[in-house]
Amino acid sequence: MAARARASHTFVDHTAELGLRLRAPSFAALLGEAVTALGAMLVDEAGAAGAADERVLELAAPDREALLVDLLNEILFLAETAGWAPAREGAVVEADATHATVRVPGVRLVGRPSRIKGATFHGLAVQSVRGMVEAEVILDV
Amino acid sequence: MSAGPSYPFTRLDHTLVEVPARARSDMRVAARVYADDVLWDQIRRDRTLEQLVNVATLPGVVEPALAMPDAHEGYGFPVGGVAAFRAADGVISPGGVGYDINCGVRLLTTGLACADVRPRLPDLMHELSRAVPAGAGRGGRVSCTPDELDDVLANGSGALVPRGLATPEDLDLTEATGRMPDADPDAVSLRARQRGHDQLGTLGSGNHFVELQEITEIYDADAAAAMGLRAGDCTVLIHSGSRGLGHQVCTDYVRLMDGVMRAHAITLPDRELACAPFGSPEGQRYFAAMSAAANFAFANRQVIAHRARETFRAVLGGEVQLRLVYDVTHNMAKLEEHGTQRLVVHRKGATRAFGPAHPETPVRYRAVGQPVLIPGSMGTASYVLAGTDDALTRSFGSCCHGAGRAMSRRAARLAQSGQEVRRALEGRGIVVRGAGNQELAEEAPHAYKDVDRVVEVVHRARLARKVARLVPVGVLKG
Repeated sequence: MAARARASHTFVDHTAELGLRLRAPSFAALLGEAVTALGAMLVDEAGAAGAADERVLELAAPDREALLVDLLNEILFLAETAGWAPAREGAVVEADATHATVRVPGVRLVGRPSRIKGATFHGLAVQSVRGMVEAEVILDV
Repeated sequence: MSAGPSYPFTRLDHTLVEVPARARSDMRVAARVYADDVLWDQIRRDRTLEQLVNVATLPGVVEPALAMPDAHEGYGFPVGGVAAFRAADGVISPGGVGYDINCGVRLLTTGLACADVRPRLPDLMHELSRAVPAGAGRGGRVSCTPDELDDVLANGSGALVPRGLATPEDLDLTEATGRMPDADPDAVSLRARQRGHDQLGTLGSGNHFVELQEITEIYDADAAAAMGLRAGDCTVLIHSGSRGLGHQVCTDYVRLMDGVMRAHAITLPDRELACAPFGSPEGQRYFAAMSAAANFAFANRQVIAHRARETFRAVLGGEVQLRLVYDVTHNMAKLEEHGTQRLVVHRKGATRAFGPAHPETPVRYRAVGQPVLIPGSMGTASYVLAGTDDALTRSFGSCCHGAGRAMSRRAARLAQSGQEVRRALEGRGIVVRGAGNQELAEEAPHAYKDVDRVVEVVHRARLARKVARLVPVGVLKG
């Protein structure tokens, strides 16, 4: 029996910014992987001071690309204003093409991260490729 | 990073290359790049040209779409991009300004010989790092009540004069006198306010910094004298922007415009170029919000300058006077008159470079042109240039904004570790504070183009002329 494909992410070279390439068996899993990747970056920059409350992020957007961008920007907003970042594990995502509900356990940040300014639409396309869903988001550093 | 498609081009002279409007069927105007052969080769290694060609497709764009010699790949517009749009029927694009609205630099003279400052340099840098929060640091901010924040958004640096954080002379020596007149605080979202209310006086991350520098060369004695620059003196250069408040304004309005483009019958080659007609309700509302965020950025650099003044006085004695030379913005859309045309000039990673004849050049600089501040990377040189009247016809009165990145962040880290970069800088007598090893590695001098070459192209192209060269002696990195 073939192993079930797992979600993954890698960082892609860009002259000035940072590319985040995501791959997952479903769009919901891709959003979950985006949460994990960004959460790790935020904790890496600002430090973790312990567990924080779980948050439920409700998103509505015209398409999957906008949902992905909105989700990342929502997390950046919470990190900067509330000192909250997603924990490394435990995100539960329900999503269709225009709505997403993301339930995420949190981490309390020591500092206020400022390295990532925003998630962009530049060249962004959420695509299905050989049974997986892929996307590459450019983050403004 | 990867190269984009190749386009036909013609070298017009030793500093200028043109990609003709026929290069791609959707281009409305030609694209031009100020570069010598070496910089042209560097610029073609990533997607800079493709992004510039995309800009040349936007409605109402005026010939030509431009890239400065420090240009590199961005998102939407290239960094180092300049594009002007007719106010009457052209667009305004949040992606053409960027997330860090009014990121910019300001230069202050100390009136002190660097040789006299050097013995106290470690103390100065230590105290600066305590006074100016950098990176994820939290202390030292100026918190604003909602009314105070409204005042900053509406009046920029001027809001700080009654609080003793700015002087009237500071306003005279800031681009647009530190206040964009079209700002409307009501166009700034609650979210943006939440991000910005306690961020005045903070550096942020990435390539932001406060540098103490030594003036090592004077190229134009008259202009240097007008700007108060003397060889051997110590200066302070501050690089920061509108922080989270500006980032949120960009986020908010990219999404807003993304939703209204169909109604305005605009189609784009890249969604991050989301835009609306300048005269539309959405275009006007973004311009008002962007102007308010720009005012926040002017005020942010003003507070950092105030902290630098306090620090110098505390460490070196009460009589030290840090005088502002100028403050320039390099991520902005501005409504300007060019000849008979009223244009919305987008400069993303580009600096205004108005000459002596321009009415917006401060009175103090009417004989020489506005100061144009070009920060290099932390281990190389920065430059002070003077704007030229030629720049108005050659580049919509614009110039480069720095050295420009040449290498991705990962490649920079692989080339040299942060510890190695720190040791190399300290080995040259440069005191480094603030940055972790990752930031140091990513912002290392080798990650950038050769700033001397970039400035030489600008000088030879008559976009601005060289006044002085400055080298870092102390770096507080965001």
